[in-house]
Amino acid sequence: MKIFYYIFFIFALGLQAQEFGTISGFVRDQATGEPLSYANVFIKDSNKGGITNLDGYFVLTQVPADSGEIVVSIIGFAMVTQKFYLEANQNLRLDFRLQQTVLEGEVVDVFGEAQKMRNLVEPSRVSIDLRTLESTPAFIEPDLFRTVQLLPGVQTLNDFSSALYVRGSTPDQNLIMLDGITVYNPYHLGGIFSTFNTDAIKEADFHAGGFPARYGGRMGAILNVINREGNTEKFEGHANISLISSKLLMEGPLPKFKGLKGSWMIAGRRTYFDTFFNAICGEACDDEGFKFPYFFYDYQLKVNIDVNQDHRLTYSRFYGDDVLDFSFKPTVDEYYDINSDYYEKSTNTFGIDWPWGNHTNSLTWRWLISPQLVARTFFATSRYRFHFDMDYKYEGTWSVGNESGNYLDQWSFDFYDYVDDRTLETEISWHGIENHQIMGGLQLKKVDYDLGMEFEYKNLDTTYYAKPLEMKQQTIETSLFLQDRWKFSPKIDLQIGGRIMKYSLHNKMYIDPRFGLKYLLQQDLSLKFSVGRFHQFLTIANPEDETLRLIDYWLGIPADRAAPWADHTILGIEYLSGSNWLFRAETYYKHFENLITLNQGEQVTEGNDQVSTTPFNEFFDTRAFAYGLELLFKKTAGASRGWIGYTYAKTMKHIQKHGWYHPKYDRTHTLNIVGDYTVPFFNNLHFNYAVQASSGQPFTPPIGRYNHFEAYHDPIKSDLYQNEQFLVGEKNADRLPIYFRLDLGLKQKKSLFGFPYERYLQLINVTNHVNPLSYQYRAKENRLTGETLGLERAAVPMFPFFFTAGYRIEL
Amino acid sequence: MRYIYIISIFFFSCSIVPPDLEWEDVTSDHESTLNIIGLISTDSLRTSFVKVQRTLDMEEATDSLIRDTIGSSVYIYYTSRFIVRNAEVVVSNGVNDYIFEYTDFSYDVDMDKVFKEVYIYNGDDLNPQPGEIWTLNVLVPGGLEATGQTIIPPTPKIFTENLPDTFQIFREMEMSWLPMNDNYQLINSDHLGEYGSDDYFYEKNYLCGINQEYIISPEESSAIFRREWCDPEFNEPSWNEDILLFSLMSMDNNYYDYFIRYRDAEFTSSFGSGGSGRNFGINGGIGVFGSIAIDRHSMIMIP
Repeated sequence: MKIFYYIFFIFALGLQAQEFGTISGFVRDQATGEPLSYANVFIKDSNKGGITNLDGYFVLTQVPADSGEIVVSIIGFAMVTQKFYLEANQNLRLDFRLQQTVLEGEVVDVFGEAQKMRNLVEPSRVSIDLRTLESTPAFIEPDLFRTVQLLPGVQTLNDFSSALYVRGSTPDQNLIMLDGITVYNPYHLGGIFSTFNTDAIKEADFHAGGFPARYGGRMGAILNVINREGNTEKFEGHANISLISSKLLMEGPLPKFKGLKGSWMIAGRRTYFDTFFNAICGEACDDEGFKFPYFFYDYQLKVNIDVNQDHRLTYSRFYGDDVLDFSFKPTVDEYYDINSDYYEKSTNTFGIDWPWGNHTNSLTWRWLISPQLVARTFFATSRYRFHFDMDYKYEGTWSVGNESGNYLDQWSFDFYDYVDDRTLETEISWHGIENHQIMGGLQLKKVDYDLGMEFEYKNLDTTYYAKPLEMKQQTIETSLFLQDRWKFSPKIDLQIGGRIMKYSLHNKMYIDPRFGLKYLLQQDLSLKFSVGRFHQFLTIANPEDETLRLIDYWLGIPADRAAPWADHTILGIEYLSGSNWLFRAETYYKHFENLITLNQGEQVTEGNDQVSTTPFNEFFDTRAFAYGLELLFKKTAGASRGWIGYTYAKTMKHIQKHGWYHPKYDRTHTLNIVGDYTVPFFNNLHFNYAVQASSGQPFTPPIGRYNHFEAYHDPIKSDLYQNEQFLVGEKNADRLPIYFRLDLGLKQKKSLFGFPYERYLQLINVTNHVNPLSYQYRAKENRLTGETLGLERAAVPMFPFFFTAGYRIEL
Repeated sequence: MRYIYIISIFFFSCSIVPPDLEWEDVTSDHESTLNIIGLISTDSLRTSFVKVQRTLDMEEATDSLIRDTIGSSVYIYYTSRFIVRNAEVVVSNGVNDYIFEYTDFSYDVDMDKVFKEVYIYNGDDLNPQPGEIWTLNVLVPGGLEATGQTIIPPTPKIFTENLPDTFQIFREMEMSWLPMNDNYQLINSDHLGEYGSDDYFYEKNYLCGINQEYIISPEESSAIFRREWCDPEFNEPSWNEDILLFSLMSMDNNYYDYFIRYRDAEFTSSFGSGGSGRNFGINGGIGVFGSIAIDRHSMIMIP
């Protein structure tokens, strides 16, 4: 009897298997052919649905073999509905092209937004597209990092930095990727702008924490920037000039060749102020040999080749550099004294050459092995370097009577950091089991670090060479990950995974478990929870108290130090209202261990060495924790859109020297209100605004004065000398005043003789509020007696009020 | 149709309005603590002393303007408000207590140096011995109080029997001394002649000048000495001989930490040099209570 039961069971399974099929395909922008990620794809009148991945690819498995209607929607595009008939065991390929709509219209599909919300399991994730970047008030030009800084959970250091401090994590703890390639110095102009040309960006995926197992090697946040693929339909070009830079973007389809199809995109940007200045300066500068010392450039190239329906090759490149080149023509001096017949001729040269930037290349092969099985293999190189080179030379000849001679004084100073990253990665996504999306992969990352400092002095008699800093490391990170997105029940989604890593300088394996849960309380109301461990194998050697951060000094974690790690725990709730407001509240706790903080500033004499602490290889053992509450109200459609974000956060670090203290980037309260409003009764007029308010940053104030004594040791006349110094209290025990900034903007599209153009006005810091970067001090003196009465301070201000305005002509 | 941008023109407002600097007093509620520099010396040519000062908060003036009328003359001068002039300072070796008295101005034993604004012992029975533990008690009317402790270092010894009779410029000479297991020492030299007083140090691949010091680590017992004038003029044989004086000083760990190891400011900030107010051998205040011992040797120095 049992045998018949088993036979029936197997037969029933077989019957079931034959009643289903698979639907898969790509969703693209009709006008450009760009893939649309996070597009919602679902079967009408069923609970079968999903979202497209970053390649615009979707797959629906276990779809009942029958006729039906498939709906594809994404905010900003018109919804598409298509009837289909699916046979049993059929893999039906359906590709869709969606047409753009205007954001402020009422035809936007709210239902689609809800579907997206229902599908994402991990909390703390925001997607930023080009439209969001262009509608956010811009500091001179749109910038990705500046927009991300306005999101809850993200702190800023000051107006001059676009670096991201996320939930207690420092910028080195964030993984910044461009088309999957790690970018080690994603800044231009010393951090004022990010290195990403917004014209080339399709979208950016930002995870503030709790990211799944496919990402690893960082403790903080993930920002994955995806470049446009290029217009597959026609050639297009864009060019514009801003106050800072001139940009050019070109894109188009690849020439069709032997059935190959594809697209390409190239975008470049360069500052032009140096060219403009040198042209204006003209002869005056030529005589001195002076030229404006600074410029930056970057260019991005992306080529996609569809070998066939299942194979795609993508080549992506990014080159960007900042260059500071400060030099004068050699100055020649001559001197002759007729009385003594003394003649001297000397030459003086000085120069600073300082390039820094990133060069990346990647080749990706995507293979649709089957509709349920997608493989992606990726090889990338990312090279970061800065090299500060300062040279001085003073040489000459002299003669008096029959005697003559020469002299030479020459020194050079070099400070450099090179990071060479080569990564090979394979990732496989499998949708073969119903209710499971399984992904696994292997990553090999070879990173070489070279951080050094050299000094050389030369004269006619002597050559002196020193290399006070030399830190070279060759490291390999090997990672294996597996994750499963499991629809446990109609109301519960789980994302379970883990990552196993081996760091070549350590003799152990590291395991990072990750767990995420989403519970659908109601149709548009969900509860999210995430917990995980995150290891990291590199750090930066920047002083943690630096006010202006020009560059990062990257180091691998040394062999004698344990790898830093952090545990994230996140609990959140999300709700999408009927009037298209997204409300999210999240609370998080992060705990950090094995962090290292640079031992900065203090000089210690050991034996006869004047200074024993070299700049970058002495660290304090550090641990930290961070917790907070974030609230986000976001409206993505309608005449008025934008978001309000509030963060309550606390971050504490501990090093033995100071005990527990607030780091410089800790701000207790942060409120950001960002919006874009279509002004009624005016044609195409947009008013945008950004309000930023936050608690002041911590700093260490002087609390008193005392005399410090130095001993002059001499066998005959030893003595004591005193010098007045300031007494400081606990580290970062005081706070700068509250930060507040209001930016406003107007933008309007118009037309003149059939040529469309755009005019705009941006007002930065409208209230001219003084936001201190730090304090400057001066002695307070009695002007009559010269007596020192104390100390005075004044805030060093950041951005004052200023505005930019202009026109952008379109053809 | 997608727009193609040809040119966009920006112009930058010349009306950037940087706000005026607003200066404000730096205030604090810091409570004054004692800042003590105390030194016990076994050397008869180095007087033991204790300097007692206090820290000031940010609003206090560092000096007081004093106007004294003596007879028909009016004297106006500043006195430091750091200095504590009315403290009870007691130094003890566990057997005897020695009361140090305040003096505004006093000559040192060699009459070549003055003590100003210090507490010194006016008796002649202060006789610290190596290995002894000496303590310090400072009590100021009004409540400020601090204590200190130092262990007298071993007496240093230059092994002179191996030294030549004269020291020749440019030539190397090996010196050896009694090594110490737990204490640092410092050896330095100077000459008594008048020329070369403007000698200075600069680094070629070695130091130059006669006045140089060398820190001796524990267990270190010898070193090679070589001297030459930094100014080439003095290296010519325009002088016949001079007296070179060596001084070998042993120190306790408190002295070494305060005056050698951490002699530079902890940090430099926008408000100047600063520190957290370290203490070495002091409780209840900042500063140092240390001790030293000295051995000397003189040699004829020849070109």
